[in-house]
Amino acid sequence: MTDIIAHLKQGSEAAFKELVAQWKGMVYNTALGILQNEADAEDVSQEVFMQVFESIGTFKGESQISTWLYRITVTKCLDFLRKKTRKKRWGKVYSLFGAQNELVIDPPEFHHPGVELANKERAQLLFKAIARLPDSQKAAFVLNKLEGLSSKEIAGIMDASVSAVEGLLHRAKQNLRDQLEDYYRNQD
Amino acid sequence: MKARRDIEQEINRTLGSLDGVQRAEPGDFFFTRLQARLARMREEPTDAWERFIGIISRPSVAFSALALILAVNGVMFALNLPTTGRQEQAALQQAFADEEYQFGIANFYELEKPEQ
Repeated sequence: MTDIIAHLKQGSEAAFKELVAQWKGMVYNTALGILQNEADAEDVSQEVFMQVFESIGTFKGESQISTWLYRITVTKCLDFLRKKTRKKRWGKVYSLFGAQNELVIDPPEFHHPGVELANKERAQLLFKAIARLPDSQKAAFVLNKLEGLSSKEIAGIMDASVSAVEGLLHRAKQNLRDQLEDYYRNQD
Repeated sequence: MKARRDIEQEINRTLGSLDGVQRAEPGDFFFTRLQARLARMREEPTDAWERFIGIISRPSVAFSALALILAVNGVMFALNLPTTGRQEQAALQQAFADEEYQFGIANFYELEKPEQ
């Protein structure tokens, strides 16, 4: 991997291609878990690799490349969600004045392609609840559940202590439990 | 109404529905699309106007600007409230203007009448 970084720093396109081939799944899967939209996830994944290409010179190798990539991905995804919320909010204001703007519409339901068929409906419900979590809880939960990362690894990515990440994961699970309880209680 | 135990079971099963999930992969030709985007980015310099719009359309910036405009309006209104001194000055100016330019005369027939 250090060879790829060294070659990438020299501007090698082959090294960049190799890096993308190796890490695109990890970046895309994380983005898809947070954004819950395939087009948005692809868009953000491209932006992540564009940033890697531009700022590879600043990568000192102090952390693993995967940690660095995860960090960029999470930051970009959360920025993307904030922008989307801002667009939605202003879209409502503009519509009051009759302005014709591109509407930001979320697809009604999200299916992760990697979920087993038997769990499809339950996973869809869980993703709906994940979308309502606060940003940091959402990121920590997705990294833990979809990427299978430990609290220590997530702490490295989110630049937080292990106990802080464990707290985030605990609160995320409690929030999800509360939402699901409301859902199942009102189902009948 | 479901029993408490049933609900608990449903929640646990739903929370576990992502266990063993496979990693999703982007569509084919991801690198080709990435290359095209990089090439586009090199061709087009970042649009300063778009960046400016992005900054001013932030709710915090927009609401701060609105609050500032309202505050300036309030201050200007407070500064221009009629005071006794100003009212006297205005009355004097009005009296002078009436006398000098004969604002009390409504039509020019009266203007032609010699003063008695």
